[in-house]
Amino acid sequence: MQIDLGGVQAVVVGLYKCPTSRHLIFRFGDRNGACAFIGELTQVITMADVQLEAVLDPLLNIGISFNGLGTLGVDPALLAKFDAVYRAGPDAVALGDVTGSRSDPAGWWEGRFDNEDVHCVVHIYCRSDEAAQDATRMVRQMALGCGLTELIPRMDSTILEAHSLGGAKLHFGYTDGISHPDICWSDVPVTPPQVDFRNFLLGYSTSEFPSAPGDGPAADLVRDSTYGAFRWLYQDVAAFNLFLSTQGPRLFPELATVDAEELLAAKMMGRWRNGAPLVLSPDRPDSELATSNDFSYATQDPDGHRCPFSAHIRVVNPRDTPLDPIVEGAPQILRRGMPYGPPLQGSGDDGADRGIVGIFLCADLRRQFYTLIDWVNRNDFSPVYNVNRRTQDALVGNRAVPGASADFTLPGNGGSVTVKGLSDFVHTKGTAFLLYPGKNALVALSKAASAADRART
Amino acid sequence: MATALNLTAPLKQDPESQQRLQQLAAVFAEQVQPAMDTVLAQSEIVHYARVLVIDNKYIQVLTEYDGDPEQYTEFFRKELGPVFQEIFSLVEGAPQWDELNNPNTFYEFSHGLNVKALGTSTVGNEGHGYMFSAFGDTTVREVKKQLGQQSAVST
Repeated sequence: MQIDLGGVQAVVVGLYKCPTSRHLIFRFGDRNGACAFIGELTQVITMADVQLEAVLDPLLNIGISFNGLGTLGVDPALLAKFDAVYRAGPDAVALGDVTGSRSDPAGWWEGRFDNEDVHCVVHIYCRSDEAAQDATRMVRQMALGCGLTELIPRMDSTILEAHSLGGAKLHFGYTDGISHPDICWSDVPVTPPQVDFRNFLLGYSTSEFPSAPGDGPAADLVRDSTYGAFRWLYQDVAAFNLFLSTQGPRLFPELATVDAEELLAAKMMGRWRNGAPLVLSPDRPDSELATSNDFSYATQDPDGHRCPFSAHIRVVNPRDTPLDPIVEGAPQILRRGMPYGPPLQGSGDDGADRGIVGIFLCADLRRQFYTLIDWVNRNDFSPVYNVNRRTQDALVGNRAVPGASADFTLPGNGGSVTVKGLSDFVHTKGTAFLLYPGKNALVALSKAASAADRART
Repeated sequence: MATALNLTAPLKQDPESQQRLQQLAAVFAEQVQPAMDTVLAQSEIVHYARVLVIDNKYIQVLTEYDGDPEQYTEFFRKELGPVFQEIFSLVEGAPQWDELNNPNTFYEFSHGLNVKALGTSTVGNEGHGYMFSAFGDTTVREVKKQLGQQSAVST
């Protein structure tokens, strides 16, 4: 059996190269209007059977929240079979978005609306701002005609709009999009490093790759759909740069200041900012290796002398690192992100909002997304952390997580060096758990109102 | 701080189920305990664990453990599946094992039976009420290290 990619939203399968994206957040009105909106939008949703480079603007995708499905009139008996994490919505404790910290959900969406109000998010990807503006107008007209209310997540009344910074760069200066799971879309035994499509697609649950709904009419409904965590993440570039300039020269006094800062940035990510992995290129950002993915930790850097154990890419993708007996395996996640906000000019914080708008796609939010977040906020999944299992991802951990350490340890031949006082370089500004329905699911959802009416009569 | 699991479930009261409960109690020390010992030690995250029966009406699985509840729960579903299969077969309203025996359903069902303790939640037990610890948030691994005990998993 081969997955028909025409039934899967393109954002799940492919990497968009568009330099502009917009993310429109809506609350449905009544059920009929909600279904009509899904029906209209389905006609223009980008599915994965197209050549992305050949598709005209815009590329459109939609994610629907659990409350959104309820408003659409999906049978409650079916809804009860959905992934419990999706049903419950984002959990601050599981996310490490600690109460009282800058990631506290009480402050999400800049206080403009509650998470319960989010019924769907329409993602628009375009090659130009003009095309994005046209697409935004089209979607808003559809929404207005169907009784939807657009939720504006910013105090200044602007929407979430992301722009490429050029060269696949992110605000911290790193190159993004180098490593992604290689997915086998056929129902055949998978040879690593390929991963089974069931890690991402619903409706094909097995004992090895379970997902919810597992079987029956609910599984039929969601077949070829995917769960996703839509996240608005602020990046504190000024704090990051200050950390590099303060700690870099102290850690590496033998280097020129700029080189010391670059090396510390590389140690925090596990790659140089040009993308070259530290495991293969420990001393300099070798441009020949900028897109290299062919490396391992257990055999090439078992002691973390090149890539520290808490470097970002070593935490979220531990490759062949030995895992604790209690850990069932490294979770697979599809990341779709783009930077938003202006680049920081100068060294001091300018008060501008900047960061990443990201979608993290998987078939099981608890076992994949929450597990990875847990690893980020506490490096306690592998024996390599036995020296200190309270450390966090050097780049994105929330330092306010109870029991977590703000230390960053760099193992070396002459012994370990520990940097104290990691900051919260990344804050959460909003999170919504969404279902990215497959084609058949979209069609079924567009008819959910009439189905519910028939059931009542 | 360690996280508490106060799994408390009503027991079926029909004669056949009650008889099987007595059989479980009779073989627990010899057959269940060794398996639990092995798996709990291997996990290196469980501080304490015990199974109680109250007046043949309720069964409790009480543990204090470190870290992520999902990984903890899934580990025990895999490693102690037959034990939980037997326990849940005695529980009123529990789904059949075929239905329970997957990560999501098992997690939801077992944590749905997790009774909230009285009082204000302490750090690490958000939503689950008060739990005292004399050792703060010291983990099993840290305790064993302080005691000079070898970790089951070496680096």
